[in-house]
Amino acid sequence: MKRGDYLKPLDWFTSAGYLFLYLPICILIAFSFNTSRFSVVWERFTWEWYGRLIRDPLVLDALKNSVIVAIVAMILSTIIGTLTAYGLYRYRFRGKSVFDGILFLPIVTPEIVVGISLVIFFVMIKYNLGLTTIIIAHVAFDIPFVMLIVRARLQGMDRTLEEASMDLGADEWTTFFKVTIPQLLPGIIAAALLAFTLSFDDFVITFFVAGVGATTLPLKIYSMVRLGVSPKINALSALIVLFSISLITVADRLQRMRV
Amino acid sequence: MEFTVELNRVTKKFGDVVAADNVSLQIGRGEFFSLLGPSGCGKTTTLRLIAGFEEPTEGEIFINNENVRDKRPYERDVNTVFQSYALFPHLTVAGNIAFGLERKKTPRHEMGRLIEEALDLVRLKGMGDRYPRQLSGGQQQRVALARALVLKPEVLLLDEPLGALDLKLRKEMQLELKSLQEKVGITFIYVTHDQEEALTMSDRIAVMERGRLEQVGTPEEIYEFPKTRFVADFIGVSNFFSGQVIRAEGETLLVRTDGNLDVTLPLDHGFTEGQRVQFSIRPEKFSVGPQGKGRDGENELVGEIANRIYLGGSIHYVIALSAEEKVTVFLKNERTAGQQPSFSVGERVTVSWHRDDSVILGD
Repeated sequence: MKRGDYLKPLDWFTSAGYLFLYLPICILIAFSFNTSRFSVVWERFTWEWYGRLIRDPLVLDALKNSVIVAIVAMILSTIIGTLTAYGLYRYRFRGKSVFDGILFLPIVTPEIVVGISLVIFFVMIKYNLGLTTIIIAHVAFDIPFVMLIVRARLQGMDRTLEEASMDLGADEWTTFFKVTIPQLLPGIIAAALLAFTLSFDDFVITFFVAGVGATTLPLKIYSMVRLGVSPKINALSALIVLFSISLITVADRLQRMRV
Repeated sequence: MEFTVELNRVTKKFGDVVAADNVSLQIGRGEFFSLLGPSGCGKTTTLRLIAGFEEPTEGEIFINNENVRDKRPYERDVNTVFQSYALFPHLTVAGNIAFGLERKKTPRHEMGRLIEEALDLVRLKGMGDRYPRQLSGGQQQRVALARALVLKPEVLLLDEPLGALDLKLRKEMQLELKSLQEKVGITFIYVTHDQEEALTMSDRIAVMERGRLEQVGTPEEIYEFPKTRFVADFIGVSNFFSGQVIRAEGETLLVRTDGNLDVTLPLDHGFTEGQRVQFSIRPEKFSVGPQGKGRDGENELVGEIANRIYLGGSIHYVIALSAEEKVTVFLKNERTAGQQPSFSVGERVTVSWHRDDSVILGD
């Protein structure tokens, strides 16, 4: 019996797994080009829904908010996360292992819990909910992801490079910017792209901390869906999927780049 | 003598581990100084203390007569060639060499010239645009050297710089490094575990073991007059004996070994009758023949050839002098047409050596 035959059932399961993951998304994309408004029956191909989408001022407004939130959250979380990861890597201090351990906690905490806790926090300090609170919340949940990626990169870095830099006359700051950062750069960019994507796509936490008036794209989709799923939503979702997948692909490539 | 680097009772502890134990050293200007020892003996730690990557637990370090206690690595006039080379992978060869010059705020036009000179010095002309990963191990090693030398430091620290190279390239680079050092005239402090390398290149060698300095001296002193059993054993091959002093007599010390052999050693006033003594003899100090040379002060013992290893240019014998005591003897191959002064296993021979070739060892 050939090895290939032996593996046949496994092949089948793998294909089924991927089908299960991607079929709904493919159907969603396909129906974003369908002329029929309500039914899920295919009629004719059209770009109409995309045209309507880009002429909808409310959608464009939500998109603008989403981009602002995602960019600001990306920049802040990347800076804070990178520096924190470097601090944990570089310095020995009491309770370091505890800090290392609880790094994952925010990642496994249910989003709804994070959302509720943040909204309670903002109400407690009497901070008005809006774009700022969304950004703060996004920075908070982006940081652990940034740290994880940067930390992986740090562990692959040759520590003597920093010593060599200091040996050649560079002080700590110069060493950090001229040697450490260039070594970490692929990891930092990957982390930034992931942070952007996570922030751009987030619904649950944003839902809690958005307040009135500050609507991001996922929130807008949700409110549109409540009036019924239209091909316009399909079109919008298709665009978001495409955008997210390309960002993640780039991030993945960068992360694999060798030091 | 003028010292560039001076260590005064320097101790470095990592937790309970004592990596450097009360090390005092004085290294002269322009000297090629080696720190030699097995791995874990503290030689690299000593180097890192001088570079400023580690701080001494106790003791003081002086570079150019200046106490460097509070000086960070970038404030010290020393540069290091790392075992792993530690070239910056994101910079070209020229970029790597320029790194230190940029920190010194060297003017642009001068920098280009200095980089060219440095590349020329290590025979890498025209390689400035390459990236480190595009170079062979030997070439990377040279870049690391050029990067440090271009700064014209008072002292160059080298941490097993040839460790990653294959044997042939190693031998080449040893000679090249030595002549380079003579050319630029700066102090080299060279860490190695390879005794042959240390003997070949150094003006002076410090042998280290378990954080302590065992002996400091010229290659010849270290080889001919090892002070401790460790040094005699680590450098080259030695035959060890121990025994008891019978009496001092004129210029000699009469000793009976544990194997009941009576031998003479050079007089050492530290020893009195009945005291234990340990000594070693290098394998090439013996002569073997039907009879000794009959020189004054010659020891003569009869033994049996137990083993013979033919190495072409030389022949190594193991000769049993008593039930417990065997010596290793290296003889030059003196075979010429019609003559074959060689011995075979089982043959009884006279082994002789001069008493001054025995070296009394401390602990």
